[in-house]
Amino acid sequence: MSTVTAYLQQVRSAIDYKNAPTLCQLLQFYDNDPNVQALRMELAQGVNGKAIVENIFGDHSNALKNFLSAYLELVQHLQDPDALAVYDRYSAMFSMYLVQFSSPDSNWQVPLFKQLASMLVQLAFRVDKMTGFAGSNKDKKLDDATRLLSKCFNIAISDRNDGGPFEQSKKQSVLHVTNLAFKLYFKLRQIRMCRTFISHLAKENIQIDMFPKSQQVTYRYYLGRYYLFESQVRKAERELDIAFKKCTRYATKNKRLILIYLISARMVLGIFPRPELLAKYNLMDKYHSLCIAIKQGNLAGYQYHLERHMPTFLQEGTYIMLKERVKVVIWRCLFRKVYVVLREPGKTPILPFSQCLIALRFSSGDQTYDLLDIECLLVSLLDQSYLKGYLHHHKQIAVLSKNVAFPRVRDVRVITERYDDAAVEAHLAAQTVDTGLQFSTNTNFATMES
Amino acid sequence: MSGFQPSYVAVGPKKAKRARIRLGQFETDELDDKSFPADLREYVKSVYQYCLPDKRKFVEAELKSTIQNAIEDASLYSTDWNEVPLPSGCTSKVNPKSTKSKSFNTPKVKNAGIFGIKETATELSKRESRQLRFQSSPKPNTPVSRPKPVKRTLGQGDDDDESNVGVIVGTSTALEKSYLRLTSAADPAMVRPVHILKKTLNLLKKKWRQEENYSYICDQFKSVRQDLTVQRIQNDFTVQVYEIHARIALEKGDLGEYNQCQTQLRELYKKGIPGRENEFIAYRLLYLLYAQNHADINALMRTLTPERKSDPAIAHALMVRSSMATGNYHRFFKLYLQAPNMGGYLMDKFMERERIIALRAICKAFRPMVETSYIIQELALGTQLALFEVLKGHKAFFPVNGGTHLDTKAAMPGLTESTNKYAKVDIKGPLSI
Repeated sequence: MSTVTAYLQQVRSAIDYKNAPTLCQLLQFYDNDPNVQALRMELAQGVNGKAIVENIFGDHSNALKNFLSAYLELVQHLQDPDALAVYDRYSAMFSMYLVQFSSPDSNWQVPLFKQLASMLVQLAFRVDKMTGFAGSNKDKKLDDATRLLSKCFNIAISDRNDGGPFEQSKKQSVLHVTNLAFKLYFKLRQIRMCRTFISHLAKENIQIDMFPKSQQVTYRYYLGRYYLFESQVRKAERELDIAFKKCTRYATKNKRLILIYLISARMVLGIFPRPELLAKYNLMDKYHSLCIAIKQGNLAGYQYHLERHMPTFLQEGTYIMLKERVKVVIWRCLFRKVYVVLREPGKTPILPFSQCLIALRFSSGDQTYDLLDIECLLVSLLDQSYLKGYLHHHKQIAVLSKNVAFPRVRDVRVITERYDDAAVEAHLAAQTVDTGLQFSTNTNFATMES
Repeated sequence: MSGFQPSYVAVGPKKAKRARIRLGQFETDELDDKSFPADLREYVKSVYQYCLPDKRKFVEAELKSTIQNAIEDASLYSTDWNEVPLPSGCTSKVNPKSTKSKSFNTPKVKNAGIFGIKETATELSKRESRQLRFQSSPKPNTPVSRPKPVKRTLGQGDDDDESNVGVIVGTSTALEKSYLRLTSAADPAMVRPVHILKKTLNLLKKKWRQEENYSYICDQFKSVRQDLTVQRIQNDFTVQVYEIHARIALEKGDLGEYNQCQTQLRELYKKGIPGRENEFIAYRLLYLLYAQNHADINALMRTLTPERKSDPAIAHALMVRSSMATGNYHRFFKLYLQAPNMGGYLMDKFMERERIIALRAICKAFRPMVETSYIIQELALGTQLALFEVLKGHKAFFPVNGGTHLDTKAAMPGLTESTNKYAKVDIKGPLSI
């Protein structure tokens, strides 16, 4: 009996008994798999795979038959030097699989679905890596993969399962698919596209904690990075914190990755990592001097150390945040030192601009700062609530609150979190022409249901 | 504007040499590297890049014969080498430089209209002479224009079929012309050739300075741009026209027109045509700040080399960005007053917004009141009257001591309300650049 026939009969049996694990084992794509080798050799001799599929699966759906025929063809051409063509074949096969998978009685196939989706992404990365990820986004196979993953997501999340239990619904795969999609979007630098996935997950009330821990960690990691991209530092910090805590200690590379973003977010919030932690993950060189400089109020030092690792920070996308948001924290720390030096017990704390100017010039090494700069900085600090008190222009002093003049940085509400999505929606809806800006309904700006 | 144009890719001298060596037998006198169009050189480069090692000889032979054929029927320049598929024996038949759909595998021969005549340079010049048959007899004081082959810059292949028919050389000598949207192919008698357009430009520059009639000038410029487009002229003169029009538009605060010019200029700069690129990058940055489009700002900043960052205009725009990000109104308004070129006009567009934001912060910080002189100076308002106008417009007009001070607590609610209206919404601007 021909290999192909025997193989397909095994497949048939797995399908008839709804045996997902076996099916996953049977449908492989690497040449080290004995099935793949044997099939390829026999198909190369001109055996008509399609006919045999028709023969064995005659009573099954056309979608399934198309998918299996496509799989056989793909296996036959797996070693084709034209990697782009191989990817295209896989992509076409996967599309046919999705047609088959979207039928209501295929929920048992979720493991296979996940496996095929992972393989899609793997292939896409491989192929695009060959060209060094050069060229515009739409030329990349990664882009093609994102579209397929969107389809996957829709199939998975809209599965009602006739009201059956969550464990047997396609929704089981939803976080896995989301994570794959996020990976692509971040690589393609289309981070905004993550928003649709996030909002749909929220809409359908998907409980993240019901999924395997590994998927939770990955999801929260990407979610944290997404929030950082949107300048929502507190939300980012929360997600990254959970991700870090839940990540198994054995996945050191992942833990370190999460930590990088977590540390960056926390520095803005005035929370600093202990040297032991940095040493453990080999992050001392990168962050230690930065943290010391912040606590000292040392502007020049901070700038110097930031520039040292600028390329890395740029790559991570944290550079701007570290450069600008942290600067405000450094001013706060600097002026607090002035306050500590000058304060007298029992008296209302006063901060003369002139003293602050001396401090600022010293800290930054820049002698061009003047009193007006100081005034503006203090206004800024007061506005962002890093400082409590008020200014007196004529006397050129800042009068500080007797109670807590310099609230703890971690307690201060970070400024760009001031706007929430609901208010933004209302604003967009009610916008008038006075502002001079025409608000287009940008499809990337998906509505987030609160 | 014009149809599909593959981007001009400049190939450096080193790469050209390699191509020359590989193509051995083409080292004749007529064919030195400069005569090989740039997209052909790119094609050759792609072929060698994607060629399978064991098929090299085979691929080379095929490449040579392809080029030889192109030379023989004089289609070396008119074929779009970016679209020609790579010879078999390469890892992918699809030309990586192609921007068309990848499912096309057959070489697309650029046909002109229904007759399927290949558009070679010789064919085009013949067409020019045929067209002249239908022109009115030349006026006494106009020189007889000879059929000139269409000016083609190296590296540009043919366009899509429909726009091929529109390429003409103008003959009009009218210096001024009103702008009329084209609904059909342009009439060469109405289109001005380059040397006339240059005179037009000088005239318009003078007229603008003397009369400052914006609607007239805008209209005239649009017609000059149209004439350039229709004749497919894309060189430093084109850039000059667009730059001047953009500056005039900025001066009058016409962002729509400015955006159009800016878009075109970006395309032209990409093709390597010289111009004041730094100046316009700075404008773009300021425009994105106006639109609060942070994603594009970050993307743009990522592309800036240290060299560009040190350009005064760009450096200024970057400092504006950073001062806005840190809420440093003191520096921001200082920069506004020092804005180079036309930057100040762009900044005018979001001046009011930044003033309100700064005012609110000031009112939060100073209690019970603040000197109006301080505000006027810091926010670059110029006069007390200007300040009062702004305050009145935002329900924040609460003068104290006859106007020397402002009651900050009372002014807060009005200013807070206005700031919320200007809330940071990350959207793309009116016209995405």
